[in-house]
Amino acid sequence: MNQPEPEGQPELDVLSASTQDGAAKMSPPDPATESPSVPPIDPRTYLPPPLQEPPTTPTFEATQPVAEPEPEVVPEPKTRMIVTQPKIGDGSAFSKADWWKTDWWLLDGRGLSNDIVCDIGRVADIFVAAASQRGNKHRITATACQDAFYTRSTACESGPNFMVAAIGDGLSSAEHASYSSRRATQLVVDQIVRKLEQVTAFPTSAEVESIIDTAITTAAREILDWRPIDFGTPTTSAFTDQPNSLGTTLTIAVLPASIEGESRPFTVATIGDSPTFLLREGRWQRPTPHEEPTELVTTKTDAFPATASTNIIHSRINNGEALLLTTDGLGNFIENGGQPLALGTFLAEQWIQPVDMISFVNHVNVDLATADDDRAAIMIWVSPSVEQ
Amino acid sequence: MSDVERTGLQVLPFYIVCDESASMDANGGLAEVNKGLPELHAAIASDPLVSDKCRVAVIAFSDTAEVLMPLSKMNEISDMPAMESRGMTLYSSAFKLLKSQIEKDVAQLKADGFQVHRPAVFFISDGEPTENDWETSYRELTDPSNPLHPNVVSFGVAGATAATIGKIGTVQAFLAEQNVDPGKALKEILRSLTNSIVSSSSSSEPALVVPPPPPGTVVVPLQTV
Repeated sequence: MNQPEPEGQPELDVLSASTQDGAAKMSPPDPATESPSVPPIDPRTYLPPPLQEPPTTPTFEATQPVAEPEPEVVPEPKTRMIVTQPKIGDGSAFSKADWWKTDWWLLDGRGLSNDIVCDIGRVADIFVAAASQRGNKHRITATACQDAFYTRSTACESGPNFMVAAIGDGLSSAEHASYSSRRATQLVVDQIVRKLEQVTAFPTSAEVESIIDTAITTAAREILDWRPIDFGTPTTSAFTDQPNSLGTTLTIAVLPASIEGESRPFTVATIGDSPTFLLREGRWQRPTPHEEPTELVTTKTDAFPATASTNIIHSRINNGEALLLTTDGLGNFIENGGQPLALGTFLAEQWIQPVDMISFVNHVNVDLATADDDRAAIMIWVSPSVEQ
Repeated sequence: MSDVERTGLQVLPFYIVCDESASMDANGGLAEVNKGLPELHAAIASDPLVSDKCRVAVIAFSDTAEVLMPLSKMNEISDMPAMESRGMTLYSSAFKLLKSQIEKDVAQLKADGFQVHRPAVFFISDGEPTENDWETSYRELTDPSNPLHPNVVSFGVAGATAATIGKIGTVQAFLAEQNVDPGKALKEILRSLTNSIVSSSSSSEPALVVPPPPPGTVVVPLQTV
């Protein structure tokens, strides 16, 4: 309703005075009609806001003529990787062609090609990412991945708990290498976990070593027996095979979980040439002393179960550091004779902290010429300082 | 090359060492070798794993030895060299050149950031050496005290004898049967050699894969020099 303006008072002063007089002078706002934060509007003095310019963009009403739409861009089928495969140097000739355009990527007709296997997760303050990947030389020959990993943790309610991890690299000269690396890692880790779950006090290094030795001896016997009808076993009878048909390297790590203090002990036991690294201060270090680099690359290695004696090291790892168990498909390109290689530098940067599963698999899948063997890696971050 | 740039790529060096004496021409051997080398090139260059990993050199010997093709990546070259008939059969010239060439090549590969597997040599001859003291240079090349000693597979045709060819090979030695035409034997030897390079380079544990006896040849016992 329009009201005559009071004489001599500018319009805005009225509103201003009204406000300055305080809320006590105002009628209580009607919550049904007014917002409590908006001052009451005196209809006598209120000036509506200036009119907005009409929008210049056309409104697409049915009665209006519509401009011819731009041709729709149809995206290419999403068959390509949504992550970019990392490449060192020029990459490999193998990876320069899409797998569906060549006859290089072949499945193992016997099943379980195991192109990629990945597990990721936590055990208390230990963060684990593990993956194995079939190498190009097995893809091109239609054979399965011969690298394998296995991780478990103990579940003691009263005693200390441990993370136990193993990695195996089946020898190409062994007829059942693929089965052997999978089965050996599982048998040994299960045995160790079983024994560790029986301890009530924190075991000494000697006790851990004894548990590992016993587990390996037991596993060396058990691996010789299988039923050809079981999942993933060789289709030939176990009794016709000799230990050499099952040759695999083995690397086993045992670490306590959720331990007080800035560092904790760990044990690594190895049979064969699969390398282990510590990621300390951003650089890879071998927990064992360097072997003198040889003039030429050697491929001879000990293998389980023909060899059941291990090289064992006991050391300590600090919170924020990481332990990497790997096979030579990756490890040979991390460092050579104590000298860092390009892949090692790349992985040290990427794995300084835990990474998501796709990234981890992608890193293991790095394209590097001549790195055509199977690859496996278990990255164990100890109490990393990650944002929760 | 800085540490960061070192990739540690792994390579297997192969050396094809072929007799270029006049008799190799007369019996049609050189013609078959010259036909076989492009086939070897094609087989290697078309295999993505082998072409990345293997490097091949061709050395010819007669009165002297000569590097016809330095250690090369097969998909980076367009032509293979051709052998030409020359004079005598001096084994020592081949072994001396081979030793110095392997040392030079391995040093260069390592300087370029490669990890190098033990070199392999395929030695081909159709006759007995026309010299007395070839064994000294052979021992210097193949003695295990030489950290770069290569694995040697030897092939003999025509006038080569089992006794001599058996001394040259360190892992295997083959001799063409008497009734087999030397040219045909060399054709099979080149195929066998190609298969060996391909198998060795694509093996899970890269190392020389000794070929089975090429058709028309037999295995001869290895002998100590």
